[in-house]
Amino acid sequence: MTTAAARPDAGTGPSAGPDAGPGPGVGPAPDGSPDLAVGLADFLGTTWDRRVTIANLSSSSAGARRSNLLFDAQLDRPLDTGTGATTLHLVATILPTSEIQLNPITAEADVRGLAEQAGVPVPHIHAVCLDDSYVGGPFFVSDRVDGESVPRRVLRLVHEHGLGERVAAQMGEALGRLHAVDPALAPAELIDPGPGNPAELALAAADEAAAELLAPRPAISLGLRWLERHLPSPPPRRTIVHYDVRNGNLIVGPDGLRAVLDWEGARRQGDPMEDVAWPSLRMWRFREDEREIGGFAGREPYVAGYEAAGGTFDAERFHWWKVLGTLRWGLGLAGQAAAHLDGRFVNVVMAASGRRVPELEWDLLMLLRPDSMGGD
Amino acid sequence: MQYRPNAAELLQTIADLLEVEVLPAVPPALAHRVRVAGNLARILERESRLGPAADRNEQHLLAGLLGHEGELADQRAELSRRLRTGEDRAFEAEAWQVLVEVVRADLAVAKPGHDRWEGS
Repeated sequence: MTTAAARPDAGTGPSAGPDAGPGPGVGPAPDGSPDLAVGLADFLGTTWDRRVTIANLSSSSAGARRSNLLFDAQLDRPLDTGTGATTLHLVATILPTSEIQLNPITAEADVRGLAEQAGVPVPHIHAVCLDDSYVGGPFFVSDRVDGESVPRRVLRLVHEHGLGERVAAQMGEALGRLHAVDPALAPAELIDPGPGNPAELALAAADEAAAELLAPRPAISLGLRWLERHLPSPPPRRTIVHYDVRNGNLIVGPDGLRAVLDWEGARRQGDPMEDVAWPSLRMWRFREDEREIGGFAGREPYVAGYEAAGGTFDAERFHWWKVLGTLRWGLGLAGQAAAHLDGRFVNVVMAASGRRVPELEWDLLMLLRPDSMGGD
Repeated sequence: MQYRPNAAELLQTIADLLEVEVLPAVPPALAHRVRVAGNLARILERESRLGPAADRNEQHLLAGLLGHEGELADQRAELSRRLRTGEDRAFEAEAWQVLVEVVRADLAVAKPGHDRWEGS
């Protein structure tokens, strides 16, 4: 991941969520207009060789850079593969044309398919379209998965149904299954950070971002020195990494975890502990500070799920990536403030990010407490 | 000298206006930004009340740590440099204690209560 990303909701930096990003109204705002329905019917009809009618079209963007259109597709006869249904409940995820994607949309779809085959819960993608003319941008069409995805609503649901340990275990299992995939099978166009030690690369990126700080931050310097001193060796096994698994990129229902979303930042290879550490950071607990994993539960069920799916949990490496992730997030927030001030992305939310840096500095200092290697 | 209301009082007034009257009246697409603006007004209100003393205290703490007085910006720059490349673990441990206190004061302005959590 690069730090100090100007785009507020890329998987590489402070991203979409209740307190981050510029919020709704930025980016494309489809309104379920007839043109979109026509475009979708056209594309799906051609793709599937069926007569397709679009119904119940609505938009669900929640402030993300991408637009999500929810709709039902009524077919004149079922698809050859699938359940035999003639009404499919789908989502079209539309990418803005003006931005450079982290990964090509086809690579993103392919890695999701790979993960799906490996048993990771991820909505099935029916088709990918690179042609802007249907709905105004490249898009893919996937199965709609019902459930909650807004973090505080997810936590409410989880607490109502007593699902905390189950969801934590399912998250661990999902990551374990992803990391069990042979990275040689990953889509060729997926971003590849190369053969270097992932920790070394991440530290170098963090140092670069720190050099861009508008004013020195001693806590960040202390964090960087700690990371350098405790740098782990290259991981025994590199794996595909999702890069942004967290409460906020999940769909959860009364039965537990239903989907892992937002694969746009996935990498061909990385240190699996980086993926495993990210969901455990304090900012993803949404004030349930005592429950390390996403506010759902402590790490025991999470680690158990990960290991049951074949993963190897390395506590020291995990802690290193927690420190790195916290620091990286703080640097990202500082970068957002800089982007506002220098005119790249003028927006009150970006400006406010600069005033959030002390939160991440506090979290960082707590992680650097000499006796802090256990889970909390 | 300016008359009343002072900066803190005005920022409180602005925050109240944004949160109570403006927020319910704007289109949903604008709500998040209005909330953020209201929160920023509250941050600035606390900064106007607490900021100067916090800066003085930080300056005092850094002087103790670095062994000399100086302008706050210079002290922070020096501390950052020393921490990034240093080998003195005792100094780092002392710096950690100082920084906890400094960031705690920063949080009193930026997000009161965030320092309630001391875990990992």
